[in-house]
Amino acid sequence: MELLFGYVDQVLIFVVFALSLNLLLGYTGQISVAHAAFGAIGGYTLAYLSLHSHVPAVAGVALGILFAGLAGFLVGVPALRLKAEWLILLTLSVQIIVNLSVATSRPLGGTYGLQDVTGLSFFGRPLVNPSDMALPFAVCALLVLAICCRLGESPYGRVLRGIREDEIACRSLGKRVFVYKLTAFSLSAALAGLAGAMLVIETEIAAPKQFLFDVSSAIVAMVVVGGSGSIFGPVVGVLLLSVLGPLLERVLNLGADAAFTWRLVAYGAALVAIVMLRPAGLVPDAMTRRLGGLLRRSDGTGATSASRQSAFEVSPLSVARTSPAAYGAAAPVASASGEAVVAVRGLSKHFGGIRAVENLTLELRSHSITALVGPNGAGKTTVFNLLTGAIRADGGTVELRGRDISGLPPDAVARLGMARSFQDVRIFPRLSALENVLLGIGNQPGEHLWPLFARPRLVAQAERAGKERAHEWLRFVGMAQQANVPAGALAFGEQKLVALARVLATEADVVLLDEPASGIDVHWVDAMLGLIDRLRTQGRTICLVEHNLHVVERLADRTCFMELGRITAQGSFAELTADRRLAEAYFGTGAGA
Amino acid sequence: MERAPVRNAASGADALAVRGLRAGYGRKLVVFDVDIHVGAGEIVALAGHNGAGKTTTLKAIFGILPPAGGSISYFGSDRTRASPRSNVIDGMSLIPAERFVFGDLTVRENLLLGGWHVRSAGAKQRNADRAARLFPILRERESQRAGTMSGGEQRMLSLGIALMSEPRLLLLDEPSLGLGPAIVLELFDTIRLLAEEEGLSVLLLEQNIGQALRIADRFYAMRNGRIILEETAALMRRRHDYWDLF
Amino acid sequence: MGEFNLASLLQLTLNGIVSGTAYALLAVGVASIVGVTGRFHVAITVSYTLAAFVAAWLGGLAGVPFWPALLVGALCAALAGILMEAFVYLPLSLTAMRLGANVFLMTFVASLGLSIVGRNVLALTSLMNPSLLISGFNNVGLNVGPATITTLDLTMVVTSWALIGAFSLVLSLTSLGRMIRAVRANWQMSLCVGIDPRLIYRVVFGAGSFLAGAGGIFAAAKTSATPGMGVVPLFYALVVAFLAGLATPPWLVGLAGLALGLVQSYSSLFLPTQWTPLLVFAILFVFVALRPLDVRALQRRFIRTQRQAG
Repeated sequence: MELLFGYVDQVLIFVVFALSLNLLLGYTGQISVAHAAFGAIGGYTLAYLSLHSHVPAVAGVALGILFAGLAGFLVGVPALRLKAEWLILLTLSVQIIVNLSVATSRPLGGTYGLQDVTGLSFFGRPLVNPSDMALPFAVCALLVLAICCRLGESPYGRVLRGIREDEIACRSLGKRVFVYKLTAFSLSAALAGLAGAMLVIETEIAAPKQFLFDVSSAIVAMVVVGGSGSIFGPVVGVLLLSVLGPLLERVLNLGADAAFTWRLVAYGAALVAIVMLRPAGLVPDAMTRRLGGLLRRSDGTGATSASRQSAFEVSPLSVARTSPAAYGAAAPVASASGEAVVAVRGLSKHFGGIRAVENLTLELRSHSITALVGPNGAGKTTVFNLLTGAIRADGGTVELRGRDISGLPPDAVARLGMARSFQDVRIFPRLSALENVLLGIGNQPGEHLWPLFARPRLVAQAERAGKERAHEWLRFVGMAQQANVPAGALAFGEQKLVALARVLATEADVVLLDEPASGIDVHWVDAMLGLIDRLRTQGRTICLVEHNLHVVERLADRTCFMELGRITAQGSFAELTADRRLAEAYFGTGAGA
Repeated sequence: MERAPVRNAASGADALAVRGLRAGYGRKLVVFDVDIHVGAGEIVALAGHNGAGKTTTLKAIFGILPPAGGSISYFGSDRTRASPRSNVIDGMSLIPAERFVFGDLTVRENLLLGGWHVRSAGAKQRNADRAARLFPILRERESQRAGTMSGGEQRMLSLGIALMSEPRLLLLDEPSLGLGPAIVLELFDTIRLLAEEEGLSVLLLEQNIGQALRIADRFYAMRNGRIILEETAALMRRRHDYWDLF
Repeated sequence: MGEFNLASLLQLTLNGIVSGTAYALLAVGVASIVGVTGRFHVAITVSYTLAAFVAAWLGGLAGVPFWPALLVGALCAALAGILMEAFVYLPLSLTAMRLGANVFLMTFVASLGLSIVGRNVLALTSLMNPSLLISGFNNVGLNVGPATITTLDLTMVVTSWALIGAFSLVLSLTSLGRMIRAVRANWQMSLCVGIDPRLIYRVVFGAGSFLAGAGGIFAAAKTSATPGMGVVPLFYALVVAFLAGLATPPWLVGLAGLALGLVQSYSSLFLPTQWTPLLVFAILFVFVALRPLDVRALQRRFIRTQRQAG
């Protein structure tokens, strides 16, 4: 019986480990191969304190969690900008440094570790046998499950998943991506610290060999096999990979040595097989599952039949017209017609020897659409990148409603009211269309940790209101029927409409649209143009880059012609196209034709 | 300069005949029912706005992107699902719009890579000599790293790489992108020369319509993934401007 | 802590060269595989260990002499690498790409799985005798002035550098080497000149795993072949490969390994020996953490996006 409880305890410990890593790997998309090391910090803290002082076990565990969280924070700072392979390397070095440090530290018992960590109790109940521990461990695991559920399946978790899908898009919607990544790293490490402390309680020692790289990689494996990003996936992964051991021992009737080794072979083979057969894991999160299903079913030639049908049945414009309240509910501060909202002066950017943007001056007015046109390589998208702070200008200023925003990061610019779309959409494919739009909505209390746990009712209310608003925006672009479809399964034109709804949901009154009509089918072009036209009448300040000159002709109040990083002419589209010199610049007919 | 009449107007020996081509990326189909043919020794220009599907068409022809429908024939043989490798060996050559050299390798190594499948050393030497005759700078700079050359020099090198593979059909993706007018002029003259003297067929993707028309025999315009116009270059040259094509 | 005099300095130098060369050989394999294919192939330990086991079996069971055993063992290592690429990584990356999953992460996890399978299958074969000896090498000590080096170590150093040098020459002079560098430099363009990157990936997996296998055999000849022998060398190899840079010529990666070996060896003059590995990984941590942003790569990327759209 105690043997069985021993297994149960082990499973519960690894459930906590896996859930903690899932927060980082599954939700935020950041890999760590140092979770055993974070566990070691929690475990050694508890062991050291219980051997050298008389603090109660609960306090020791709490301190362990705290220290592990701090370590996570310290590792998280340099990890912010790293790509996956460097992140593996960084966390690998943390793993080895922690291992070597405890193994060479005399106060921590060197390679033998801290032994006889006994006499611990949990609210007066002594923890001696595996059966004593099962209840408190189960409480811990359930608590961690609840915490992870709250963190993951909430507006906060939505931002994390947004970061996983596309960090740049997330920042462009005004999210403080670095803060989220750092808190996710710290929280994840803290929970791993709890798991480490549980491991020490169960084994009654804290030794280096309990927290090796192999343990870290086993935790990674459990999360991926089970299904990263879903709440129960990692739990399934732990259950599956931990029952293999006892099962093989019983069924195959092998010697203990052989069983152990066979178990590891089976375990590694299962890992490879599952990754190859089910790249999303055994229990993928709902959106990934639906996306996979839809992608498999579709013939790869465009929209699924259902969405194609609905697209023709419900024209975006007609829907928008039948619900005039849709826009009014979320209207930005109306500005007087024609007021200059954005003023750009002397903007310059050089890349090496190439002058991408040179002394550019531009004004964007409300209630109007300004189009940037020009030959390839003229620097039009670079202007967008400079305006939104995606890249830093070498010189010049950008003013938004009289406020100098030069040098601000993209998320700050977005929060101040200037948002952009991307030529290549940058949709969050494994989030539903509705969630995509929800990420655009600013000031959601549920996106912050304190209200998330301290004021659940406020969060719930705000979330209801947010969903209502997001639905309205989806109705506005005519995508209401696809609200729960994973965005990655939508046709490209539909994705562009969802991306537009997402930008509009930020309520930025300056909207920069990068090739809104490119790469989409004729049917969608009309819908898109109608929407942009409506935005103008509603008072937004719109700037667009577009190569399809028919789009420019239909929409633009003012067209700016860019050549070699400068605006060399502006006026109405008709004026510009009548200019012989511009035609020569655009078509290259000047030289020798 | 006035061009001779279009050759091989309707013969079965077209260098390239694309019929009903559909192509795209995963769920995003961007090229619909495109028909293009290029006669032997003909230079055909394909123009259109960004995102019109020109590059996708080119990738599908070359075999980088498996077409979702339609057929591609090359000098009379079906090539609809041929790999880039076999296309190159049979004399099809593609120069992409950007990153068209191996920056970490020397000019000489770049050229050798272009002719990796040419077996005879004599042929290799002849090809290298021809490239050097057209672009003397390639020999002068043969041990320079390609990535350190100027944009125009890299363009010349890319053409040199293509010539090393003894091409019969050249697929060029915006060769004028980012180049000064003088270099564009020189480059395009060289392409014209190759077509006239060696019968090289060229499919040229360009936004720089003026330059393209200077050397092209025929002209296609693309918009939103479809061919919207096919015309002889002579007729095109009589137009005032081309705003309506974009 | 060592005492500082000329004799001990010479001995430390020799030790450093020996351990550094061992790091170098595996690091060259790791750097070429990760650098060209982008797969974080930690299962290179399987090749490393398998080669040692094959060499030990050949010597112990069939009496095959050392050098043929080395060759066959390393070839088995190469084959293992190629099979993993052809039957696991390639299909996996195609599936993952189609489903929009994270290709890099999936191949990494698959690689972890492969290394677990490989290590434990080898463990099953050696349950009866946990340490396999590689026979056939007559190992004696040689005096170099006041210091000593064993003939095995000397052979290992010479062979390793011959292999690294040969690999460098192949990469820089032959047509195949050019193709490998072409795929590494510009994957898209290599397709345009008709190179099939899949074939090149297999070649690189073969070559890198061959080098790893040779390293494994020498390591095992020094002590014995054990299933877990690859793990720690892999960590060091990763450090060397990433410190040197993944697009660096093999001989330079090798020199970085040598430098690391020497630093580690000399550091025993002022650090307790059990702390020297800590130093190595602390260097790695600081290097990765402070790794300045690659400004030029960023610029190139922005110019590219601008050209595409602007």
